[in-house]
Amino acid sequence: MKKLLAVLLAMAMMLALAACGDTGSQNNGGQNGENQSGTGDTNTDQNNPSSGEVTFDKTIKLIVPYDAGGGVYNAAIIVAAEAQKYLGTTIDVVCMAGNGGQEGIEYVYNQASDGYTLLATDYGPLISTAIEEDVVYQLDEFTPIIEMTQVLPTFFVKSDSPYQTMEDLIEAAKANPGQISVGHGKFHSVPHLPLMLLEDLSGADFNEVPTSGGSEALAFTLGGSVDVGASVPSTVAGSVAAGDLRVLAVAAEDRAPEFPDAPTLKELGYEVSMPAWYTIFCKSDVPQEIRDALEQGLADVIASAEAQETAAASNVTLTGTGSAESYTLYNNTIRDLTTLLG
Amino acid sequence: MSKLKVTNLRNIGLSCGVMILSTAGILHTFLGGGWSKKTGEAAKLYPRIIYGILIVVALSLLVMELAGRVPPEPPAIAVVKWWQPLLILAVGVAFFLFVLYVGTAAGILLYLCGTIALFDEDPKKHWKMDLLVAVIATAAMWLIFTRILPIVTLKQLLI
Amino acid sequence: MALGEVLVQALGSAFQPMTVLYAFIGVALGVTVGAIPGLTGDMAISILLPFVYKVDPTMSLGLLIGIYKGSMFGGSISAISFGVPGTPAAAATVEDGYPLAKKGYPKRAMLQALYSSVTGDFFSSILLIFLTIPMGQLAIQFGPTEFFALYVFSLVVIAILNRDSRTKGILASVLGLLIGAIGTDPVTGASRMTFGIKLFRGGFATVPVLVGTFAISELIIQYANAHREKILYKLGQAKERLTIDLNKNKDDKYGWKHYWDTFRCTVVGSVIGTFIGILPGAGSSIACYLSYGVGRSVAKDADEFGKGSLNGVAAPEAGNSATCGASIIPLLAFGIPGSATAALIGAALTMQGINPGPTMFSANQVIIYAFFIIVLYASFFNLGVSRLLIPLYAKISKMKPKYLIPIIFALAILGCYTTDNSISNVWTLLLFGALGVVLRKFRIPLGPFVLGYLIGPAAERSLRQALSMNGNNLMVLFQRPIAIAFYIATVAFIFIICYTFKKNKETLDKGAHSDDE
Repeated sequence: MKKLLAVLLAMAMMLALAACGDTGSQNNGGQNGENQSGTGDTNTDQNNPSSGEVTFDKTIKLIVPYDAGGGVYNAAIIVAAEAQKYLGTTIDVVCMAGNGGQEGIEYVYNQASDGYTLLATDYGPLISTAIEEDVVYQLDEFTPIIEMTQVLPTFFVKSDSPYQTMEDLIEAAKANPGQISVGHGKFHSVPHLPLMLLEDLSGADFNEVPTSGGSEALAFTLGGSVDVGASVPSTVAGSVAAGDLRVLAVAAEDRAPEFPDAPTLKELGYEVSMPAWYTIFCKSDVPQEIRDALEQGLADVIASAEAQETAAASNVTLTGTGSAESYTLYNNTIRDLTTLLG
Repeated sequence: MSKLKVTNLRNIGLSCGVMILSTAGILHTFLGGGWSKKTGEAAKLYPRIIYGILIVVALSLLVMELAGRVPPEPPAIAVVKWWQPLLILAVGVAFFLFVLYVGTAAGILLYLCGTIALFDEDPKKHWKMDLLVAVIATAAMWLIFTRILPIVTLKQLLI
Repeated sequence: MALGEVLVQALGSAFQPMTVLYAFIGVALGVTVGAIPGLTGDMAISILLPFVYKVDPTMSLGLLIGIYKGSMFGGSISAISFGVPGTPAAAATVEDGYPLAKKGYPKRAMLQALYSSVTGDFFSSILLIFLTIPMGQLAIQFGPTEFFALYVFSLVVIAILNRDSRTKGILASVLGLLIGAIGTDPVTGASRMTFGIKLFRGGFATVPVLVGTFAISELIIQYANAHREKILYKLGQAKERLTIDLNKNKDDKYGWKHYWDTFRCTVVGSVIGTFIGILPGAGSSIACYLSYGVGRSVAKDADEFGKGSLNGVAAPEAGNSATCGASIIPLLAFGIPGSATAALIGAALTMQGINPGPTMFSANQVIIYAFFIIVLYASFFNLGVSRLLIPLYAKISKMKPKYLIPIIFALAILGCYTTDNSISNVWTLLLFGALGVVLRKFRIPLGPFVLGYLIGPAAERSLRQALSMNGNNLMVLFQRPIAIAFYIATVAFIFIICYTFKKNKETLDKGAHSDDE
């Protein structure tokens, strides 16, 4: 009898598991141990349209679909640090890197559209994954509120490399198709996509070597396992300053502040500009007043002296581009990526 | 062939099972669904190699078993009946879901009372002690997971 | 700034009362967090990262280093007391630590683990301080071919050490590789082998896999035994047991003699751990298993490994703790972290405007030297704090299973959830718990399985990188000197083990096995 009960219990639980597996991100407060009796209590008094004044009386959760310590995370905590003063409430940065970041995105997607759950990300987990795999959301169901910062894809070689400039490299690549190896971080990542576009536009044929990330690309370049490396400024700044690396070019509109001597690919005649934006998103169906309040508050945070100071100390440039411009950028990126990846 | 003990049969079953699954696996890489658009041939090569090696290893295991080696099974694991893992897992799932949807403290307390009783030789006799331990443990865990861990992120951490 | 001046300032900074306090708290926090199955030091550090902005740089470094070192040892506490590795690095410690505890010597095992840990830690810390640049240069020499050779070596070493059946060991490793291949292709990130199951997409997280395979399966077995006890009790055939400690009066002490007896294995672990630690991406789990494997081949009581040999605790413990200082070497030399935790520490440094890498030594000398000093004294704090906590944990481990097991189970579940704020982690935990029971039933060794799982993706990536960089020419794998060295070592190792096994088999064949796993 006991055995039967056990099996029945197990089967019931497995069914529950299957059901929850799909809506697995629904978390009504168990995460912080608060004893909530369902979603009913999410701010009935948060915004009072009649008075036109939007206030935030609960902590805002800012979800980062990466592990702690990465670029997006760092930018997010700089912004979160000053939130109390300008937004009226604290921001909790929560890392949810599961399933390639999809767990974090799905969590935001499943929460109420009340402006208390936001997403801070770059285009990788949000757009690239949506194009290449099946995801639960549509890209237009997220709207950018404000951009935190941008990172620029950077191409570099060892200082004693025979390639002094980007032109040298492209010439050599055209002459020896498939012979010059480029270690470029993860597949279809921020440094990889500009590389692909560059190959299309210039006719150069590189031997693309995906690595586990910027660090591995740097390690392989320094050790001579690959001829060229592609990553972001923060990974290579130290080695460049020490003279171990030479930056050949960046794939952006303007030159990188860290490497004022390195030309942009545009200057060299190639229309390859794919800076990676780190932006805060909310769901598109969050009411306009709340979105405006968030944008205003976050813009104040980013513009504040404290935030600028903290950012400068950690070599981050906060841009604070507003939602209208970010929205255009978002759609441009979607368009570009669909062409490259779709 | 020396006489076949339970462990022999088990190993033989294991070998056959692995071989069958591996063959199915290889077929799956050639035929089946569940692949995303991005999965190219290169991504499938590695699983095929692995399945191949598994078949070889399982085969050699089978051959060795039939040739008559008999390692004994340790007593501890021999006791596990088939329904016990399922029960424990079901308890785990129930516990977690309860904590997630109802509340941490209540979930832990209920779970602890239940499972301690499950383990106890004589629940009726020991219920006072069991309850006491459950309450203390619940309090400690609740503290750790809701107060100490998240609280460290607060700006007002006093030192 | 003259070196003397720098040192004076650094000493002042490192020994500020607040910094010392933070380091102390860090170690205490690290040991506790590490001991809770499902929680890791990485998690604690991640939670504390925002904190770095709010305090003085050296203070926050003290805190983070303390947590790093503490958690490396903390994982061993639960590995020894409950058979549950609290952190992935402690997985190999379970093999001999847990049997030792069951025999009635938990304190001795834990003290052995502590002293070996501190020795290994100290060893790599000294190398960090004095030999960063040259050792960093060594790390850079490793390209995909060398990494692949290293992974092959590690897998073979662990697989063939299995006492019962080398074939089963190999089977276990390959099964681990298979499970590791589920989820995403490490090179293109494409989904594969998901069979449409959402949980499998993206692969599984390391911590739940480890805790599930070792711990949950062990818990299930404990339950089964408790259940049988219950039935026997009801039938009047078993008396109520006050504690599970059958060896109340045994002499559970640890002394100098034990330390010196196991010194060889401790050294082996220290060297291997340091070496693996400086290689970016190789990881503390590889270090602990490899140390265990190599330690076994040099230890005098190799036959006791797996049954409760102190050497079997010394080697992996020295190994995993040595990775702490070592993983910071490439971080400081090039800005390339040698492990995930080193990456977090690198992030903490970056947040304070210190760019880890070659320029650091000229631009931020005082902080770096203060860092070194903290690294050294944190080891001693680890020693002190842990010595206090060990008797406490030893007592806890003797608590009755009916209380202990439900509590650990709950901790494991909540811990795995909290680590990544991920519900999938919990399902992964339970799934691998079931798998662990199945593996044990079929006598498939867990160590090789877990190692195969952990390094499978990395091995595949290295293989494909090496091939794609050289026109898919398989011969390239054998052309680099370091890689060739590893392959030779692999073959040599196989011969040594086969030879020792053969010799021992003759003696063993005369008696019956007495496994008591």
